[in-house]
Amino acid sequence: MESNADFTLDQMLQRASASLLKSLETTVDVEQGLAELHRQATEGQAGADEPGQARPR
Amino acid sequence: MSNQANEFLMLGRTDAFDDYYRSDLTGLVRFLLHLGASIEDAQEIAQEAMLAVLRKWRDVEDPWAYTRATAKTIFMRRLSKSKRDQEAAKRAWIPEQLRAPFISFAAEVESVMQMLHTLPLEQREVMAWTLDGYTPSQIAKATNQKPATVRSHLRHARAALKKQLARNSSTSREEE
Repeated sequence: MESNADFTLDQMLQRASASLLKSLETTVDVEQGLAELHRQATEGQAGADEPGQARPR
Repeated sequence: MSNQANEFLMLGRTDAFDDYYRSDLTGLVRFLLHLGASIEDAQEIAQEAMLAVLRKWRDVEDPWAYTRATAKTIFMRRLSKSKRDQEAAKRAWIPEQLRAPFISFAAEVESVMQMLHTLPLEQREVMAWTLDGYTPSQIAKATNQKPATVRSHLRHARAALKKQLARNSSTSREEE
């Protein structure tokens, strides 16, 4: 009985988790996010290198 | 541009980081959703955690665990800020906020998310790591907890989820 409940729970969690990932893969724009991340990293680093400007903590 | 910035750009744009980002961004967003973040927060926090790992790329041994631990810290910070904001909102009238665009997920996903949301945060966190394939020992290492504590959270979380599952199935049987 107990192992049956464990099995049912694991199956449901695995299905939902896989389905959620699939939905996210169709809605999240990874390439745009990556380009934006590099832009932020460059800006942050350039700002930190400006004389007299503190590096963000 | 300084040599330091040039070096950063060269390191920051390594194929290894880009490959990692592409392979893990949606997984990290899912981790945050399991943790209880909204879809908007999850995407923002994932990006913030990715920026943190990019800045430490050379020193980070396990980017998957590092971004998850960082993302959880950022999420906790937002939660406590939002609690403070809610308390402030009680004292001052603010116009009703428009809801962000809703992204719909499959019914089973919604149901699992609701079940996870009923768990205390420490149990939800252990479930989020577990659903990403981490073992209790790995979770303990990544979150600076004792393995026994992680196992205990996991045991309690699973017991609560099974209870809910049994309750849900008896309710749907009664409705039939």
